[in-house]
Amino acid sequence: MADWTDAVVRLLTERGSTLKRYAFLLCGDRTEADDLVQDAVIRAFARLGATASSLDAEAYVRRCILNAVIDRRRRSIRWQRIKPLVASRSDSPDIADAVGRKIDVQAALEALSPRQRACVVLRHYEDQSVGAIATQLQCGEGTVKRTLSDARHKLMPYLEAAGREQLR
Amino acid sequence: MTEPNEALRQGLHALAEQAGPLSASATEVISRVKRRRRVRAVGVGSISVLAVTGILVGSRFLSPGQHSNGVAGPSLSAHAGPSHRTSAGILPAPPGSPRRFACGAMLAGPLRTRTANGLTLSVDGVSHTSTTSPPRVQITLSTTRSSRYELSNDTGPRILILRDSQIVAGQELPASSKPVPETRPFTLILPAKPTPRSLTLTKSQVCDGTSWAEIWQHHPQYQLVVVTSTISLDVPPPTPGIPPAPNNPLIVAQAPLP
Repeated sequence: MADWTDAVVRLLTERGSTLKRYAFLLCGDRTEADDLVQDAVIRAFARLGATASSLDAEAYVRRCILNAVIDRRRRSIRWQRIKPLVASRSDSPDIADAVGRKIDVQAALEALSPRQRACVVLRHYEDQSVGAIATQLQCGEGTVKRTLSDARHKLMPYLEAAGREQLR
Repeated sequence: MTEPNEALRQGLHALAEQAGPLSASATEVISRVKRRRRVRAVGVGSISVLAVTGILVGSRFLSPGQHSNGVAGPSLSAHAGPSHRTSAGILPAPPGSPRRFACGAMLAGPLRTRTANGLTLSVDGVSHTSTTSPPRVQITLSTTRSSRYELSNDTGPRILILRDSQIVAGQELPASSKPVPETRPFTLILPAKPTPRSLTLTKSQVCDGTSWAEIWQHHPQYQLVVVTSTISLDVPPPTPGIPPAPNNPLIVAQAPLP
């Protein structure tokens, strides 16, 4: 078996779950996370050379997942903009209602834009520095800081609810 | 914000645990990678072949007055002074298509041959009636054996005026961007002896930046060239070991202006 096929098997068996958790946090859907990881692995090994190792590929796969999520979310946002024209008001998610029902962090993340969500996941789940996030998102560090600040502002209802839960 | 951030971090880790294991088949992924690599290789190969073909076709049909970047070179309405000379030469005509001579094109290099297919072209005399008129040229076509040749109106015999090997005036110079009209070839039967003919620069055109008065006033700087190409209809059988010569080479004869 060729080197790269070994690397594919090793990446999927050893790092598959980690990559899926990363994709799941970014997209919020288990099935979509599976597709994202699979597509990213295919894209990575189709583009990388025959001698690509699983370590080389993982960084590329993570980058592919991030870009794919942001692109997909942008497309879905276009749909959401016209969705009120064809859907009833109760269909639209509302962050205040979600917190009122003690909905989990997943619902809170839904209120964020793709870039805000990516910044939050990279900063608070992956523990990456602001500079590293800026490099991955191809933007300035100031943009990342501002995006994180906006995201925290939107997540404030969830964060306050979580704080109250801890105090009980 | 430390405590809310910590709460967010814990919430994210808790949420990530709900993702579950990855459900992806390594065999399927490997087969899809192989398929994508094949498609990619075919795509790259096709693009390479198309690019090479495009370059070859483009260079073959690039007219003499055009630069390699596709910008049209100086035509009859363009300035054709020495400072605007182009690097393009007279390209050998592809089979079935006429040669083109445009203002500013260079007549250079290996095309300077007076004899081809047993036919020799020479300029015997150049005269002019006034300082604003085109020249009248006496040429001789001679062969070493009686033979039939096919001449085409598009390639001559045609008179061109050069300055520093660059065309500044000539006979029915086509604009480089316009297609040359199809012309009907005619057969010329030449006996095995010199055959003098007289040519007048009819339908002459002078490129911008030049005039007949200017040419006659500074005649040492200019050169008269007669070009023609022929197809021999009596091609001798090829000699074993010697490759046959091309059948429609450009014959060029030069003479100074008086």
